[in-house]
Amino acid sequence: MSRPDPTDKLAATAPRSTNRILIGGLIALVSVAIVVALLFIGIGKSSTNSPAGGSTAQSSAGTPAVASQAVPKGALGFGQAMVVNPDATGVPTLDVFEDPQCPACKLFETTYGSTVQQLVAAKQVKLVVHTMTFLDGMLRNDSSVRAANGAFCAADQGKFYDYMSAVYAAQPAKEGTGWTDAQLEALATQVGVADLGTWKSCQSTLQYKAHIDALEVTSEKGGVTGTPTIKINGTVFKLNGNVAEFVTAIQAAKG
Amino acid sequence: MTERRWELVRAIARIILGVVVLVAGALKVTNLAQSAFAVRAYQLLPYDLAGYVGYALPGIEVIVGLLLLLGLFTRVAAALAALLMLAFIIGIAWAWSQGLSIDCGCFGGGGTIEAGRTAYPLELARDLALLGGALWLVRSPRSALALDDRL
Repeated sequence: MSRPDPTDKLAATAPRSTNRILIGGLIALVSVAIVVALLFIGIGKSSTNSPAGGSTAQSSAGTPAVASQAVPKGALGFGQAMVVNPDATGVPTLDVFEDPQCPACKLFETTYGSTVQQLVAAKQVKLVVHTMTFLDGMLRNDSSVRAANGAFCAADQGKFYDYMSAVYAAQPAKEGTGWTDAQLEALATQVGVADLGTWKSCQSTLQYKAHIDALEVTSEKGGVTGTPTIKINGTVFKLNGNVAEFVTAIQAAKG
Repeated sequence: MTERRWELVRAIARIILGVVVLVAGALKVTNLAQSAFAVRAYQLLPYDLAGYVGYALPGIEVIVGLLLLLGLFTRVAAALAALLMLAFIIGIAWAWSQGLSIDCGCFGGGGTIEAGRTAYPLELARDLALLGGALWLVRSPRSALALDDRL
């Protein structure tokens, strides 16, 4: 025989390659399982918490879960923004995207808030507030959702904007501290919510949680991933602290 | 340098790449909703798809990072890491070119930030360097201190 017997060589390599395939297969299997599990967490989250992921606000709107689809008074619809002064017509629209826990939003309220209030009262601008709550995820609490819910419960009694302003005024100095339930209730009293009992039951059940989650999705789908974002007639207005410029921009915009 | 020396240098490259990818994944895997939010901030993928990417990516990073750190299936792991880096580079370059002001969300965080706080050149340089290391390991996966040698 001219060829060398390959048996010895094969015997030396065979177990090693078998091990390699086994371990590789095992790692691949475990990896796929982990990634699939993570995806299922994502899908599970989106179907219970928010209409993200697989479904949309529209497709889930037909389900019989009436209570969870509750829309606060003044909102444009389920998962849609709140119109503060719907009686203002033929004037520019001011869209404000804010997260209750965002320090820059408090700064916006401190710097521009009184001017916005005057413009709203004089019906020179239609104020549309898009309350966002993504900071809950970043700060690992639920204060933005609870504060937003408190504002929507107040909206049912015509106090949305007052409540939101009070929330920013009472925003803790350290981002992430949030508000206690008692603090949020005190704000309801402070802004003059007439039927406190109704507000409390609305707040304790987080009645507008589904609406709040859907609203967040709507804002993100619209390309807003930061707060405060200000739009005048749909165009982003860059804030620079100069209130006069802001007023000029609104006055220059057509209704 | 001798081949033995090169294997040591490649081990260093492999471990740096592995640690960076592993840490990036580990920081995000505990807050998947935040990861999805960070992916959406790029405004590159459709909303739902961006969510799935955000949920799956941290797990993939942890696995790839661990394989690189251990030196197990180095070539495959390095190829996956190279693909990840390529995707990140495309994403960051896209965000920069579109004039977005976002945090890359590479190590958690993410979303819109003030225009003056973006760090696109630094993020791109880092990912390009890591891509270079990953491609080198794809070409020559043999490195010191690797479990590959034990299989």
